[in-house]
Amino acid sequence: MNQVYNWQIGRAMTYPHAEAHPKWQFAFCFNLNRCIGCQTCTMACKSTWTFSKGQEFMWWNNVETKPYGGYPQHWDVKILAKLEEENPDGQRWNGGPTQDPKKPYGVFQGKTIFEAAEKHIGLEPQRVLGYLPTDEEWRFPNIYEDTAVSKKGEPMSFDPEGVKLPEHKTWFFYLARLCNHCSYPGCLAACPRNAIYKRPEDGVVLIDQKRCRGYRKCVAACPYKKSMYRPSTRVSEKCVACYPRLEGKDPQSEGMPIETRCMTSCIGQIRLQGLVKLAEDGSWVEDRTNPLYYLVKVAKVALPLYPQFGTEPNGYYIPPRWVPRDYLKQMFGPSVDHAIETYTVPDRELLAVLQLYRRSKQIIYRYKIEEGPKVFETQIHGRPFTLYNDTVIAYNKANREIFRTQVEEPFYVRPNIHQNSI
Amino acid sequence: MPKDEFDPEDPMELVGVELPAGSEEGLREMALTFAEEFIRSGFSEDRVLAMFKNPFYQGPYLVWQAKGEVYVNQMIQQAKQMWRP
Repeated sequence: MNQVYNWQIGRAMTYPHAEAHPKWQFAFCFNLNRCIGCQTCTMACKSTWTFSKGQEFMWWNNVETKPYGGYPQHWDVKILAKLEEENPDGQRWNGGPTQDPKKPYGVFQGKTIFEAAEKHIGLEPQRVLGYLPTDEEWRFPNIYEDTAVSKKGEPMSFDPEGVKLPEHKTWFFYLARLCNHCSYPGCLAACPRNAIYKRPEDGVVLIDQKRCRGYRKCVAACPYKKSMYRPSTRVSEKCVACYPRLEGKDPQSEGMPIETRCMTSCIGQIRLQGLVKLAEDGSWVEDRTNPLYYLVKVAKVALPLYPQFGTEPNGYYIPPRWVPRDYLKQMFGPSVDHAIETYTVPDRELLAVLQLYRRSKQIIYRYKIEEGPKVFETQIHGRPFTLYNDTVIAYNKANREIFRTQVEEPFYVRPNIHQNSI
Repeated sequence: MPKDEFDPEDPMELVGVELPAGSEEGLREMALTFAEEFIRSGFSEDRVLAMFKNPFYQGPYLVWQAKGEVYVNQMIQQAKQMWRP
């Protein structure tokens, strides 16, 4: 076992491989306050990558209704329970968020999935604490939530009176998920064939289909359950981060890196994806005008999903405002209060950066804000607030302007006649 | 037993997890977030209200069902005061 530094848990941890980092890292920020659970991202991914035989139950991207749904069913509850079992009452954070960039969310005192596996006693030794979901658990991208149940005793039948979806009487939110292309991937750590690798140019985690023999160690090890077994080829597959698009090789891209299919199809405009520059030690190089750097490192409004697992996931989420804080803190770590407070009463720069979401397919490497006139003064949640109609300009890899938009963006309603046309 | 029913006696099946219960404050925050997000995006009051009344938007619809139109209208007005004074 090697020691590697994980800034999301604020300390060094054990990992089966030596520390190594790519030059750039694929990352994304989702605004969960806006997701309506339409599954357009899910279908965009499905129709691009997983429409073939043997991939019927494979959803590299999915949106699940939290806290009820999960793909595979109960994935997070199960791994959290396993960690708790290995380290009873010890899965805690020490203190709160700090200004230290090496431990912005504080220090996690509990055990990561790698550390918990070291003392795990079971049928066979594990490099990573995990479990293999059952076939039943993989059935739907939002199991029991978006999937109406057929009539009892009449499977696959058509119900002329219509079927009902579950209705909830209390809070819920939609959690959109895909592979986090972790800095310390659980799947990569568990593979006995070294068939999984992280690309040095963009940090994308891939499974070498020729080396893989379908042992499914990665399926058991990925705490987010984003590595999936394909029975027709007898090897495992996972999200490839639409790498031809990242490389600018997609015909649409005109040579410039563009965002993945799931990102660009997002009609709720909750998704922003890009690449962040890494230093040799894996920390983010200061890149003040990269929108992801701003959201994660400066405004600290977007947080990693279950950072305590220890894989340093590169998917970040603006937490939903209305969800009980204890639940959110377990899911996104101790910085939830700060993130929600910042998002609820956004400052001038954050408002402008939020306007960058889904205005273009191209990856935004840099933004610039041109100050605009004051529009109004008011109070937001009891705090004084001034809205300025600033213009935010986005630049691509070649430092060419992709688009410019304003905080007060004009709103157009498309006439009914064009609703289903492009 | 049909597959879609939980069996609390089945030791292999996870039948439930403890969740913090929904509170009045949480529901209000949820309603206000939806109203704020869409008012901020430029939706008119009528369009936001229509969304709350549409059963296909489960979150807003949950609030409209539980608290009624007067409450939802109050939330929309509050959001409008903040983002379109």
